[in-house]
Amino acid sequence: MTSLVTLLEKLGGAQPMNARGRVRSVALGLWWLALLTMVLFFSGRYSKFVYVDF
Amino acid sequence: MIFNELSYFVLFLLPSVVLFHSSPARFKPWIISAFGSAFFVYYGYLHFGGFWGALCVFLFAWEILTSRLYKKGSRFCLFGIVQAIVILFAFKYLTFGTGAWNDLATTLGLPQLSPIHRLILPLGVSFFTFEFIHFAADTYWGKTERVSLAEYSAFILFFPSMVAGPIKRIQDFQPKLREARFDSALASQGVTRILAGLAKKHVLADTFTLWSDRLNTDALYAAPGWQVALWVLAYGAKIYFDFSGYSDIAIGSGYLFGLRIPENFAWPYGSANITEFWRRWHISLSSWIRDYVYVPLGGSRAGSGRTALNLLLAFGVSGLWHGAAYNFVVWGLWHGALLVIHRAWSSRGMQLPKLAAVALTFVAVNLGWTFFCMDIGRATLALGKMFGFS
Repeated sequence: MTSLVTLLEKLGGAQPMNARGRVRSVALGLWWLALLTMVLFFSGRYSKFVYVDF
Repeated sequence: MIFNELSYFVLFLLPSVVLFHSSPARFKPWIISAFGSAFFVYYGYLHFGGFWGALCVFLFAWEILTSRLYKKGSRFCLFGIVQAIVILFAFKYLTFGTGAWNDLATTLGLPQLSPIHRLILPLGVSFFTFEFIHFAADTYWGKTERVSLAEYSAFILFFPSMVAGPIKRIQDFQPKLREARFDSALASQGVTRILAGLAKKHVLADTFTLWSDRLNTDALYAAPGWQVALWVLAYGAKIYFDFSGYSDIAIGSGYLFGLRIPENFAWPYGSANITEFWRRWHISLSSWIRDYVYVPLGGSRAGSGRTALNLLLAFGVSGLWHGAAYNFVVWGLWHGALLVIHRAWSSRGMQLPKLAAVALTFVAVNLGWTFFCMDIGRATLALGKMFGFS
């Protein structure tokens, strides 16, 4: 459980990810690309954040 | 909106980060202040009341000027606290306040006030006024170091946390601002955090919204209890991913400046009791409420009855802060009551198995969301359906 939490926190940027070395840098770049693709694919449905006063 | 607009990244975040890191140390706070002011004017004009919304940037200028008068034990600090409360009340609560008075006046046969319609709500007013109060109160109590005009200006105008927090503390921000350097590892972590925050919002929160939005449609009247319960759970998931996603973007943006701003969430739905939940949910707000409402009221120092009252008052205030409507007050009081029950429970040494405790806390929190996402009439109907009363 702890290792799953750690993994999720690293993937979410809440914990540092050791991205030294070519393979790790490429993996991080691919992860960014995957996140960006998901964001672009799903964006446009609702824009308002709940906690922003309007 | 704002954090998921391209303009946030292109016009504000990227240029300010580049300028911040390429400038001498003495200019860094001014770069934050300049971009913070432009950010407030731009989005204030665009989304928060047009010209008058943008003009509210002078609230910051006034606060920066008056903060120069704050000294330990000074009456100016008390003035600063009062003026922040007045700003918050005038912009956010005047309509609700007059409406609430008129409701009371109708019941008691007292004279009514003319309804006041809210003109504008300045961008981030609920959050920046809490930072104003924190600084004035901590200076009054002698808990702050000497803070320069530039540093205080950067503190209140730090735009990544201006709109919806995390609510910062000057004691935490000031040394970090002085030591802020470009750190490629932290910047890389910041990019990951921003992208993950955007994904939480667009992929997860917005998907759960498809279900939770049904609570505020006519579908509620025909839905069976189990379906209403699923929609409420969907709201619980939506609000977590929405606000923790928002906080990730704010915190990740801070990393790009080399600044670590406070965390807001720590896996709150894994909490084994309601006290723990409030240490892990919207951490920067709950610690603010503790330090500037609960403790000044007497906290837990004056017997169990007074402690219970203080908890209810603090969480009533927290509820009202979340929205100027009765349902938010009920939501706050629900959490206050849960905390009172938990205190009584734990003081008798009673404990549940961990899994049962986590499940019970999760259910209690999600029942509370019923009042957070609907007005009282609909929330009562939804609860009635879930428990088989209607």
